[in-house]
Amino acid sequence: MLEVRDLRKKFGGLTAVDGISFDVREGEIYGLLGPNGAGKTTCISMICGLLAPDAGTIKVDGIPLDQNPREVKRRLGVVPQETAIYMDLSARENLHFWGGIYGMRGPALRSRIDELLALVGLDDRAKEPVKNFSGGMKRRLNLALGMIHDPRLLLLDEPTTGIDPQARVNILDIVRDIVKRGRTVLYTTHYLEEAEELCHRLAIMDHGRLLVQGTIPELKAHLGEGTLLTLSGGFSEATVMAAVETIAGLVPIEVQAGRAMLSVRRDGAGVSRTLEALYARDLQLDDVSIKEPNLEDLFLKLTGRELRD
Amino acid sequence: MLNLILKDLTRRWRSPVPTVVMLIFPLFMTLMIGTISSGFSDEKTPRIKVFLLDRDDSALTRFILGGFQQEEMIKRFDGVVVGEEGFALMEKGDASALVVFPKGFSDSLLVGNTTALQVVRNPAEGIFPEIIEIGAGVLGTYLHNGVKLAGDDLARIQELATRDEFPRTGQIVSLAGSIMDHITQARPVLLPPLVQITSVKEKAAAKSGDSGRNAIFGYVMVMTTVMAVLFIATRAIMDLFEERQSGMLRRQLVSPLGISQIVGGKIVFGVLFSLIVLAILALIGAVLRWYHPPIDGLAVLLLSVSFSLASCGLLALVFSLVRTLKQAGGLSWILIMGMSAVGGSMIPLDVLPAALKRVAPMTLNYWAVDGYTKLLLGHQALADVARNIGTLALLGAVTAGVAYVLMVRKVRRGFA
Repeated sequence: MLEVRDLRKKFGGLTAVDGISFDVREGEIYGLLGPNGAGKTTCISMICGLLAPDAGTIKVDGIPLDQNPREVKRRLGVVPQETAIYMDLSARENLHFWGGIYGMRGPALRSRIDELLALVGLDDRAKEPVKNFSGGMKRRLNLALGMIHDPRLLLLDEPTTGIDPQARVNILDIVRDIVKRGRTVLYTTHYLEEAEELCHRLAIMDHGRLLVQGTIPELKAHLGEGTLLTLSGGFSEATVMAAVETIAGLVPIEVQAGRAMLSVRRDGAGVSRTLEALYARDLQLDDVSIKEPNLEDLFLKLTGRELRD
Repeated sequence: MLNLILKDLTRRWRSPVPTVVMLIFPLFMTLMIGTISSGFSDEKTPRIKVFLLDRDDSALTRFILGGFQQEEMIKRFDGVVVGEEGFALMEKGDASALVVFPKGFSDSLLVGNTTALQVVRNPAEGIFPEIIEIGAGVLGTYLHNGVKLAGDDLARIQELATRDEFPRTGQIVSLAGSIMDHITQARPVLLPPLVQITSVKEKAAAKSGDSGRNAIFGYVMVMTTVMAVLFIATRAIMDLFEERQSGMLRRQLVSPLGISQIVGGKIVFGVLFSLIVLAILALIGAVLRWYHPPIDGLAVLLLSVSFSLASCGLLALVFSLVRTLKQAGGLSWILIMGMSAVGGSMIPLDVLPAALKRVAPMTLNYWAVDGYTKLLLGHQALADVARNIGTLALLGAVTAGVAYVLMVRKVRRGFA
């Protein structure tokens, strides 16, 4: 559905997107996860034709964006980060305007508006000026506006930023519903729980580069298949590596002086025995955490810092 | 593009307050200025209080002070005869000025010597003391000319007045005859006066009833409406900057709409909206009978279209040269106020100083105010305003064209 190859964009001396490539398959939710400033929005802006890339190609449904931008734009629905809505118009009038922009008219447009208002739960407030809506309602309408022309690929740029948990749940439900109807979604977020919960496949971005991509299990596999042990204390890298070699089923994920991330394989000695073995080797441990691996750990492993830094 | 224009019109309809304010502005200004200018106001001109100190205490000075009791003078001046305490009262600011007739004033005058009237002005006031000083100057001129005219008669009067016994009848008759001779000789020069003053306001009102007043309302309406349309055009074009801030411009740019449609649509909307506002104001003016037939409707329409195009074109050009909404707002305000001040929207074109009259044709206001005045108040036809329409249309086409090119380039370079 979407094919991105070696995409690059610089703003002066700053490299915002540095040669990223990925494919989004039909009917899936593909997530771009990364902290603020990772290059997600720049990437989306290039895919929707708002920014011209310095290099690289973008194809939607096999149509190159640079050769036929109008045709590509007809296939795309874009939901920007900000709630770009005419506040003095009603929800229905906003939808009517955008439908008209995409060439929709008459009963077909009216029926599509009714369908979308029901989908985003605004059918009972359809005639009210949007300025009276809550933040969550505006976000839902923002989403509906991007879908008015029933696009094959929907680009959602951090659609849940700055809204309350209940409104976020609503938005995620709507996105799942859209995909059930056979549409494809490219979803950017910096909330890893959201990405983990929603996306079929995911790419992690940082500093304009795509660090890793795959399904959630594939990504977690980078952290080993077992339980994750994170140690901190007064030990050297060599001391930890020496211990790892002697304890069965213990795999180093990331080891440095004073901090180590290890995976305890399920077919190994087990967490309890492993910890006993580590203490037996006189490692000075100040803190030990035991947990199932998640995307935050993966981001930490890949970048050496936390996603929320 | 039609969708964009309809959307903008709907938005104006949904949020009418800024537009209503723009409509009220020329109406309010018209009613206010028109009421003052046309004499509807019942407000009386304030009387000027003047202290009169007569140190001479002669027949002549008493005669002059008595003039302040005349009906016409009472209407305009509150003349209060004071003693030496008049200076202290002036210190307190109790009057606009103190006029002092010095001792020996009459004697000096009668023997043809130079003398002076002293005027003490109240420094806290501006215009009234000035009026009194000018009045004293006029009095001085009259007295001087009177002395020149009377010649030797004044010396004889002086001599008769200083005698102990009452003058004989023959002497009085001889003096009267001499004075009559002087007046008879001067009559062809003095009478009738070459300049007569008549009240234009009363004459016009007597001649045509309320039409004179309505013409004033009509003229002020034209002046202020032209300025209001410039503000309306600003609002319309500024919308592009507001859509940029709200993210709507980005949203439009990722749709199949072309940049040219978006920018062109905004300029066309500005022209249409200005025309709607002009039509509403014209209707109000007609209902209030500020304009009278015959009016060349086609000429008014063409002038309105060309003026709206020129307004939107010029403001779009200004906006295409700035980066932020704040800059756009500030620059357009300065431009509109400047053009309005010089171009006849604040001061009638006829009374502008000569230097400003030469600059006025460089403003849109000049061509519009002049054109509408000719059509709505002068009952002239299309041919009479063809130059106004042509100039505005040409300016509009050029500025809108350049603005369009610059704005499209601006958006392409990442303005959104």
